[in-house]
Amino acid sequence: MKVEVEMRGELKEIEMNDNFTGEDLLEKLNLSPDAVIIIVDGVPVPYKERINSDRIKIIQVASGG
Amino acid sequence: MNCSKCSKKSITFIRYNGRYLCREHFIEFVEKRVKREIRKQGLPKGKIAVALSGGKDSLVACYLIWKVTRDDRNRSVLAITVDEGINGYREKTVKIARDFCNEYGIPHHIISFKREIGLTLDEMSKVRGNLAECTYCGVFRRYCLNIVANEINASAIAMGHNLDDVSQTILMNFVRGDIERMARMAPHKKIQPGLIPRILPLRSIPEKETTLYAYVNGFEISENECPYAIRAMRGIYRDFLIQLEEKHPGSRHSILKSFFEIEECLHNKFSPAILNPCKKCGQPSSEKICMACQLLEKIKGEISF
Repeated sequence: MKVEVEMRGELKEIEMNDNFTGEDLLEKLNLSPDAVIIIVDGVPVPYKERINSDRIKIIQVASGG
Repeated sequence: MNCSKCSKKSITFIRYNGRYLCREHFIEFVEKRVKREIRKQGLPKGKIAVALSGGKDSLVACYLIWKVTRDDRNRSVLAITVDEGINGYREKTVKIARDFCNEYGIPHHIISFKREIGLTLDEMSKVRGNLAECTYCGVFRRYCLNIVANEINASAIAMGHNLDDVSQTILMNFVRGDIERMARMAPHKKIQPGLIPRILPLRSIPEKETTLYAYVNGFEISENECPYAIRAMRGIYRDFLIQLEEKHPGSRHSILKSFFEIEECLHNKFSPAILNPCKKCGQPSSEKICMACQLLEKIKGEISF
């Protein structure tokens, strides 16, 4: 399935298997679970969880400033 | 997954303790540890100044200091924002800081490099020589914070450093062999004349949790990076610690815990620096001329050529 990911104000479309988890998504994007928060429909979700949405927002926690 | 403490839906999984937490229990988990840190480090009576950049950590620090002192007759909170003059980056967070203080009725002081030092960080960047912008920024930012904190007679400055920041600093000092600097890390137990002691209420909270706490409380999270961060050594340590934490959850906590174990020895070996007023600006310094004045002199020399 096609999934739209918003990160730092930019949209990215990626291909995921059905029934993917946050962990699968982070692996695909090469991100560490300690460095991001996954938001689905405005609500944070544990990265271990299955994601039932094709629109996801990722907040990167290390701002470097 | 449901919360490990109740039946509500969880919003996060805490890797280093294996718990799922709902919004309420996550907030409780953060606040409990911050309160413990504040008790441990001590919150002096009087005005507590929060160094409020407008980034998420400083917003969380400011909110929590506001929250714990709200019904305290002996303590009040105010915020200091340093505008370094970083075009396209700082304007946004200064506005976030201003809006935040308006909302919570927190007195807000903004001090700028341009007014206090004479140059913005962008202007310094053009004449920085072999020093990274972060060197100038760090020195002048502490200088500005201390000036305002003294002016308003603050009893402490609360900084927004989180567990990631602090464990990076500890590791950096080890790698550089700069153990004396480690002995001088905030929070400061001994009060030095003219130098307002700093406290770090978020020191034991991982950056992911300060960010999540900011998010669930509806604070605006600026995800912009400082344009100069690319030249900061810290980035290497940040990436390394995130990788280490991924493989070994709890590593950052262990680094901080190791520091606590040796802290007393460090303080015995390196007694606090003897501070005297800088011959130029009068701010406390361990040298005749303080680092801020030395750097200013260097920049002025570059400009006159």
